[in-house]
Amino acid sequence: MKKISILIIFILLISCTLKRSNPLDPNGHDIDIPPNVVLTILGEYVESGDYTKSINNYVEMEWNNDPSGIDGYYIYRSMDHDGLYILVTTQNHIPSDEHIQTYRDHDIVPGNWYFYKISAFNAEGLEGFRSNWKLTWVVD
Amino acid sequence: MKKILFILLFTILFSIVNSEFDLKKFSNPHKYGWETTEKQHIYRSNLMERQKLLQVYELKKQNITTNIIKSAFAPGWGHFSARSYTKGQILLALELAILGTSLYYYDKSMEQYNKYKDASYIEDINQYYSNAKMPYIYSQGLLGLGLVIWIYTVYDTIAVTEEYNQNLWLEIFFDYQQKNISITPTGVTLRF
Repeated sequence: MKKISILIIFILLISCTLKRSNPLDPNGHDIDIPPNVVLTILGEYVESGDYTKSINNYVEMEWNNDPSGIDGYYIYRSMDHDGLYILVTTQNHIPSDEHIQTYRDHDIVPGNWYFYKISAFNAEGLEGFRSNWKLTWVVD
Repeated sequence: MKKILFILLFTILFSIVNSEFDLKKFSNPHKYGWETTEKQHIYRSNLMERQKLLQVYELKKQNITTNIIKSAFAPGWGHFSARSYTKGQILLALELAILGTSLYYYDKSMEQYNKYKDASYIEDINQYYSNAKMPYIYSQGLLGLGLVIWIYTVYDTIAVTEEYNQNLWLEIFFDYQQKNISITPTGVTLRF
């Protein structure tokens, strides 16, 4: 009985090792997670509702592109804060003196609420954590 | 010299011819504990019958190695062969249930693990790996348990087969004894 118990424990210990085979997995691989990026939607900020009014039938946004080790950015959009965020665009990292990068989303319908998120990815293709959502109201 | 040899030969032949062959002395039943010659004959016929029974037993008895191979190939098969049906059914059902559950968890784990391998988003990587890990542990743990039961099944086959062979001998012997008691219109006859 003792031997059987030892055998079970041994098998359980072996079973715990599920190989981290994904080369983009920072656990067990020499790869850095891209830094977090803070997104800002440009327009008239409404403090009471914590949202930004977007005019001219597009949503304009900017983010700080100062951190190093970034190859580009993914911008996501959703119509619900915890809904499905679809990839709007992939933007390459463009270094500039102002350390600011911008993007205009024209693929929107005025009169709707939109939530945006941004994340950075590195040269290996690992995407870092997505930012908190930013809400905008596209004015008719 | 020739005369002496002739006389010697004659004396020996004469003594042989005149001496009586003592059969009782030659085949002494007391030698092996038999009280009479009849008992010796009974014992001999009994021995012959037992040898016949042994031949029947040798034909009908089950080979332990064969049953071990059967059980190793399909758990419970050895038990079924040894007519230990209940035990065989329990072990087979247990093995199938455990291996089935293990396979279910393994499949569930691999589904998540494949997503993990394809993921490029850090949160997906962490989430899919975490999702794959627990079912994998369950799967491997159950597989280990299945292995232990499999080993037990193979081991138990030896005991079950030995028990079967022992019962078989008793059965053959009992049948033989039953055949010796025959009921006829004139009465009950008991043969020894």
